[in-house]
Amino acid sequence: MSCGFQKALGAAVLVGVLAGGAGPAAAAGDADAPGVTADTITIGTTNPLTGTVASACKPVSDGALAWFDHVNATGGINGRKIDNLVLDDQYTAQQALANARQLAAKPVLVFFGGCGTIQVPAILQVAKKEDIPYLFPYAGMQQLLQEPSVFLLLPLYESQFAALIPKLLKENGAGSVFAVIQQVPGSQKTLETVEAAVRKAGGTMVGSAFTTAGQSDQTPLVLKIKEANPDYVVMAESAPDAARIFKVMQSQSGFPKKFVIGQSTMTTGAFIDPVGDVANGRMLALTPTEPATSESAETCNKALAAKGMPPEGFGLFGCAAAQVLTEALKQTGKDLTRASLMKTLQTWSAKQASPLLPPLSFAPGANMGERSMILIGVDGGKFVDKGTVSLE
Amino acid sequence: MQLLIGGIISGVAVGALYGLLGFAVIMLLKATSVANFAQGALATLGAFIVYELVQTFGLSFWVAFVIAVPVMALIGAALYTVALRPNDDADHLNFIIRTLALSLLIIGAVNREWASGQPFTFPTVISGDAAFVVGGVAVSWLTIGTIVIAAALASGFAWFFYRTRLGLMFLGVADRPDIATLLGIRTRRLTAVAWAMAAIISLVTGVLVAPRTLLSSDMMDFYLLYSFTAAVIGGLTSMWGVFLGGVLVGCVDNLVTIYAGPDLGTIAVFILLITVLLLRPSGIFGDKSLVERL
Repeated sequence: MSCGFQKALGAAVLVGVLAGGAGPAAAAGDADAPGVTADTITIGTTNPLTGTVASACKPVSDGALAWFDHVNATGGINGRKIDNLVLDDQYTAQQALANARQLAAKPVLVFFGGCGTIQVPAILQVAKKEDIPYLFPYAGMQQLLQEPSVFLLLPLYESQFAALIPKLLKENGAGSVFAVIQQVPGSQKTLETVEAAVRKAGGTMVGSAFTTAGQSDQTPLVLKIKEANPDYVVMAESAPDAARIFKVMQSQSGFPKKFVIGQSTMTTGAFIDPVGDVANGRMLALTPTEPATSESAETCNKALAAKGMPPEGFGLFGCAAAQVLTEALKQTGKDLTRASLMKTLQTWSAKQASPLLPPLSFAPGANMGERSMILIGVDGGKFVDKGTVSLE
Repeated sequence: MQLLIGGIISGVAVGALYGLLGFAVIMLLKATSVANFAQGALATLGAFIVYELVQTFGLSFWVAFVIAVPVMALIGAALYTVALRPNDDADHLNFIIRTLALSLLIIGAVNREWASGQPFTFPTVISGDAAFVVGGVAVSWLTIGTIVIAAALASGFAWFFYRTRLGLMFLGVADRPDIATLLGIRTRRLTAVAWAMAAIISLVTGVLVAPRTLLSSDMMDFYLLYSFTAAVIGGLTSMWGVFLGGVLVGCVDNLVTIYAGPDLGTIAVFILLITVLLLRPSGIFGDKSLVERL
């Protein structure tokens, strides 16, 4: 064998080894861009698909999947298709922890979406350990605001109440308030915020009660409310439990004299479908997205309809969150890493990333994107737009 | 005072439901010596079957219920035949684990079919309108109906077990299956019948619970836990004891919840359970064992 031939053969072997070694790395993503390959962006979601709040929360991930399917059908983002892996956590922290570990090992570019506050500490634990950005969960937990790699679209429930309670008490008369709070991480802080907002608005707290998710009998709670005879009830409950409470309020004639002040979790089909006309004129709450009847909802309505999904609350939020993510991915470009994606988000100032949402602003140290929300009431058994409320 | 009266009345109302489900547990225990942890899941399944018949086929509630009765009876007998009859000389712990597995299986099947869109509004069984008001608490026709149905079932089955040949055969099979077999009693057939009857009672319980709590796959979780508690407190050998145990559980839970919160309500119920077990292991109305009598 000639010397020249040996050198050529050695070079060919070297090229072959290098090409083969690049194959597996390309399939799983580079060390700086886990979850990203030449043709795919893999993101992970842990969400209640079954269990107590599945009826409310499953549409969040379904709505996002509907939008991603629409984007993939039109060519993807910068030549890459989005692969959203969704795992069921059944609204439990233990399962969410297992899911987060499984997704981190996959790996995924980001943890995306999901719904529920109980699971957040578990997911956050893995996200921080593995340096995975955690984007746009439908959850309310104060700690999230302090996490640099977390980006939020849904204002905290206490922020919603801090803005809504003074507005409504000022417009409808300061009066007596009874608070009903579901026990989740941060629920004590929610109660403190409600009490402070009521005092600030010149109202009086006449009682409060903590409830448990899925509680079978709400009669004791409603009897307590009846005895307190408040003008308003502030309700921080999941949609199914809020619906159960409303049904017992109806049977026991236990509604407050004026109305119930709810949070965004109650602005979904899981609340209004079983309750219907019972809630007419009896409930006001803030929602992060425009209602389905708005022109702004057209693109998401179409994407949801393509998957046989009704256009409503949580499904629209999921779709809107997906629109925000795809806009961020597009703007980041081909050189996509976790760091570059977060940097893109942090440059946004009054960015209209989704027609369903108000303009978003992020910055280092300011990871809550929304500065206002939509006020929703109930008329004819359906949600109706009652205007916008600033959260600043 | 109004709150106290209201807590007691609502406790009696929900306690009747704990007692009804506990009654199904007791009935199967008396007939087969098996504590069935799938009783709540059967109630859920029964309610969903009725709901599906009403929603999909447009049937009235009562027609759907009449159709669901033999369906649930067949399901109960089939579950026994497939999951409990094989190796039926195993120990009690083995059977308990099997019923726990059945519970998970049934709820999994319910979620597979009906997970999306829960909770659902269940068709009106008995009017939820107030029949009268006591102490500021509206007592609905549904609540009255529940108590009447529970009392009727308890009386009926008490008469059946102690006054009829078939009922005595059930008790004999539960007490001494080996001797019952020697006497020519077809024990396995009787056990299948007992499972069918328990499934029907679960169906009745499910259609009475669903209008109160909205129909969902987890609607019986609390009820199953409290129904076993009611059965133990009332006495596992007493048909009437389980209802009175249910009322006691309902009142204690509701009153403590009203004055101290739901977590303490649950704690209070289980303190009551432990106290009864320590002071009177056979339950308040249960028959004392020979050792206890001595």
